Amino acid sequence: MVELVNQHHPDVGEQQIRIWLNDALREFSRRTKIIKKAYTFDTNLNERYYGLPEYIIEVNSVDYDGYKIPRLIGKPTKRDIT
Amino acid sequence: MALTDQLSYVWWIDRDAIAISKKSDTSSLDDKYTGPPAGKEVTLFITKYDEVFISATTGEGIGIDEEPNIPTEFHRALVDRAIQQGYEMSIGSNPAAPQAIQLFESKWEKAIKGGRKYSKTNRTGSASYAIRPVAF
Repeated sequence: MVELVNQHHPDVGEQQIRIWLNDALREFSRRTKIIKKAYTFDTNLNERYYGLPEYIIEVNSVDYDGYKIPRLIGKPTKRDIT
Repeated sequence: MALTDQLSYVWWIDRDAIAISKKSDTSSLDDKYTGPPAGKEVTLFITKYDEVFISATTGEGIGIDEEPNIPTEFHRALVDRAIQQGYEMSIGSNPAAPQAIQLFESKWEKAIKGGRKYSKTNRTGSASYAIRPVAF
């Protein structure tokens, strides 16, 4: 890939081309939503919130203990910061 | 655990985190959404960013000798976008740059459109139907 870009821009270094390719790959993933995967974790006692890894663009659906669970419309009236 | 118990759980997204909670019918706001027990498996079905290109041959990311996870037919689009960005950088000194930018941008947008279509079909393909009239 770097060589192909270099054919048009022979004076540009590999590091700069890698930055452009990474920008393109990130934009392509975000706009097309083409990479779909499953991500699994285990719950902790009474812990409601679990941080999402940076690489997740969006959560499409959730299984809890082997069964699909619904998304809550809105947010609970009582919030916490745990 | 009975199936009905699992179905009383809900999820929502807040502050870059996912919340998993049991929804109760109680009128008490304190007990309406409680946390789950320990050790229950949660599976998120997600769309994600690809890994990043790295300078090393292999490692955490896409090495020089490796390929991104997006389908092969869209790899060329990444090159086109990078070439476009190169021309954008040289717009003041290269008189051919504006035309090249336009060309590569249009190729990029076409690839995005193709990528969205690919993503939506979920590899099920498209069905082609033909309804045949039958005389009874």
